[in-house]
Amino acid sequence: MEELIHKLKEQIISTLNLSDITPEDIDADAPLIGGGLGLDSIDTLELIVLMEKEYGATVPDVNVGRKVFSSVRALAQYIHDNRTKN
Amino acid sequence: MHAAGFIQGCSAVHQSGRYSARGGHAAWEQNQQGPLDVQRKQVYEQPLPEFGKLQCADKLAFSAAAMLFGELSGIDRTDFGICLGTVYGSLSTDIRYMESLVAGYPRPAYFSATLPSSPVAEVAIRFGIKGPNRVVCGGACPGLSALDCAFGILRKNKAPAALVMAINALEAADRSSALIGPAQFTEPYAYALLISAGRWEKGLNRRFVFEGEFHDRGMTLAGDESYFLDMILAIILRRQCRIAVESAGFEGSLSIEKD
Amino acid sequence: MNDFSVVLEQAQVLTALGDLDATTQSLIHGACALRPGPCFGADSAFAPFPDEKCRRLRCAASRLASSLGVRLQNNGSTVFINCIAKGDIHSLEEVVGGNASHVDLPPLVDRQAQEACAAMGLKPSHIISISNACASGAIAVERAKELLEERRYDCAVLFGIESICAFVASGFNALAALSRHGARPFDAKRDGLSLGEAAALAVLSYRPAVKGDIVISGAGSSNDANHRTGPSRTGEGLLRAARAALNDASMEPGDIGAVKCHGTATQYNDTMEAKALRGIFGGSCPPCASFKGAIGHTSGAGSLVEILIASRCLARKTLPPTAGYALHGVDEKITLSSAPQPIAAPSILCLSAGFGGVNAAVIISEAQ
Repeated sequence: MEELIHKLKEQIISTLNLSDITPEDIDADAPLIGGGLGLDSIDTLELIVLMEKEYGATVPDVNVGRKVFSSVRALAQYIHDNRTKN
Repeated sequence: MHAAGFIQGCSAVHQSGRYSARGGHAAWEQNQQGPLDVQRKQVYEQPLPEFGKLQCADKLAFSAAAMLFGELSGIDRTDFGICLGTVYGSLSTDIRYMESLVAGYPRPAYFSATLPSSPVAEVAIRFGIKGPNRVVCGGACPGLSALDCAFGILRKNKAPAALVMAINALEAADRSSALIGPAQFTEPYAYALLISAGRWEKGLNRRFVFEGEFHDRGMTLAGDESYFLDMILAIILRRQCRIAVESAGFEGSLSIEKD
Repeated sequence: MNDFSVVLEQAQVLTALGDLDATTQSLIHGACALRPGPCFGADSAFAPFPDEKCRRLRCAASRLASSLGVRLQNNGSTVFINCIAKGDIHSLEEVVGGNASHVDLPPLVDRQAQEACAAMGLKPSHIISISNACASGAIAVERAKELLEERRYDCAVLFGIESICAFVASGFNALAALSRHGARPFDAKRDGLSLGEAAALAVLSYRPAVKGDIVISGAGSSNDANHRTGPSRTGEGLLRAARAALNDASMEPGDIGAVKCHGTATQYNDTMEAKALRGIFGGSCPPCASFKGAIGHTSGAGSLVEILIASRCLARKTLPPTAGYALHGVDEKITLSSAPQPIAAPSILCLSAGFGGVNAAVIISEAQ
C-alpha cells in the first residue's frame, strides 16, 4: 500500500504538471481537491482519467468520487479494491 | 482612427528575456530555452502550485500579467477589462488533446485550454479581474486589434483601465506542423500593457497615441508584433518614441510621449 | 447625444429547425430538434443541421447570404466579424488522425474568415475574428456597436458557424458536461447540455431608427474570475454583464420585456443564472426562456444565433416555451414556461456565458 501511495503521488505530480511539488510535499492523508495543491474540479476529472488508464478503476459517480479523492490514501485504497489492470 | 491614453504598466516575455516597466530587462538562465521555459519564480513571487499546469498560451499570458501587476501594488483590479490578441491559441495543446483522444483517454485539462480565450480565464482568476472581455484571434496584428478593443472600452467608460495582451504561443515543434507553414513561424512571446484613459495619482502615466488604419492586404500569420517590444523598451528607458507600423493588417504609428 | 441607433438591418440563421423564420415559428410551437446519440462518439442527444452540406463553411455562408436573401453590399466601408469559439478544427483531426500529411494554408482561423467572405461575395475593409468561447457572438455584437458608434465603418457584418466534431464532442464529454437524453434547461431533472449545429449572419448599421426596426440598445461583458470552465456559484459575473448592458442602454430592469437565457441545462449554469436573474430583477422577473432544449448549445455562433432568434420573437411579441423544462429545478422563482409567453415591453435581454468565466449581455429593442 505504501508503494502504491508513493507511485500515486508521482503520477499525480506528472499528470497534473505540478512542477514545484515533490512526492514528499504531499501529505497522504490531506484532502486532494481544494487542499494546498491548487487542484480544482477539472483536476478531479483528470484523476478519473488517470485511474481508468493506469489501473482500470472506474469512478461511477460524483458521490463515489468525493470519497475516492478525499486523500491519496483513500485513492490508493479504492484502486487496491477496484483495479482491473496491473 | 486616433486614440490616446496612459500606460500604467507594461511587461514582456520574449526570446531575448523578460521585461517590465520598473524592473527593466532580465535575460534567461543559460539552461532555459526562452519564454516557454519560464520558471514561476522569475515572474511571480508567491507559491503557485498551478503554474506547472498552465498550457503554453496560458503560461505566457500569466507570466506577462504577473510581472506587470507585480510592479503595481495597492490597485483595485476588479473592474479592469482584459483584451487579448492571440495569433492562434495553443497549437501544441490542440495536438496534445487530439493525441489523448486518439489514444482513447481524452484529457479534460487539455481540452479546456484549447480555446483561444483560455489565457483570459487564467489571468482573470489569478488576479481577480472581472470587467469586460475581448479576444481577437488571428489576422495580421491581433495585438493591435486588442489594443483597439481596449480603447473602445475606455472611451465608453466601461472600465477604469484595460489590460492588453498580445501573445504568440506557437512552439518550435509547431514549425513542422502541417497546419502552419515554416515561412510563417515566429518565436513565442507575450506583451502586456495596462492602459487607462486618464492620469493616475502615483501612476506610471506614460502618455501614448495610437493612430492609423486597419486593413487586410492579404492574410498571413501575425508578424512578430515587435512594435510592442519597442514601446516597452521606450517606457523602460524613459524615452519618447514614434514607431511606424506597416504590417499586413495595420498602417499607422504608436507614439510614446516624453515622460 | 444624437438619435442614431445601431440597427439590425438584416438577419438570417441556419439551425436544426431551419432558417430564421422557420426556427422562430417552430420554437414558439414547442418543437424540439434533439435526436438521440451517438454524437460523434459521445452518448448524448444532439441537434444537427437538417442538411449535412451546411456543415461546410462555404456552403453555410453562401446559403445564408444568397438563397436566404441577405443582401451584402460592397459600397461603403464594412467590418466583417467572424465569431468563433474554437474555429474549424476538422483539418487538425485529419492531420493528427493520420489521414493527411499536409493541410492547406493559410492558418485555420483566418482561412475561415476569408472563405466566408469569398462565399458571400463580400469585400470588407477589415476582418476580425472574435473568440470568446460560447459568448463570442454576443461580444462580437458589443464590439460592432462600439465600432459603429465611433463611425469607424458604415456597416458591420457578423458571421458564425458551429458544426459538431469529435474534438468538441469528446471534450465536453470529458468535462462530464453532456446530457444523455437531452438538455432540460432549468428543469429539476437536468443533467447536462446537448450540442447543436447552427450558423448566423447579421448586418448592423448606425442610423436613425424607424418604427419597427430592431436596434441593439446596449451590450456588456464581464468575467467571473472563478474557474477555468465552471461559472461562479453566485451568478455575480452574469449580473455584472447584464448591469453593464442596461447601463449602456440607459435602461432599467423594468424596461425589459423578456429574457433570452443562456440556459445550457447543466446543473451549475442554470443554478448560477437563476441567481443572476434574481439579482437583476428582484421579485419582478419578466418572462424567460432558453432555446437550448430545442436547438442545442451551438457554441461560438450560438450567442449570435440566439440574439437573432430573439429579434424575431420580439417582433412577434411572443417568447417561445423552454423545450425540456417541466418541473422547476432552481431555487429562485424565475418566469420560465413550457408554453409561449407574451412579451409586454419592447426589449429583450439576451444572456450568454462561456468557458473561462466570460459573460455577455445584449439588449435588443423594437423601435417605437
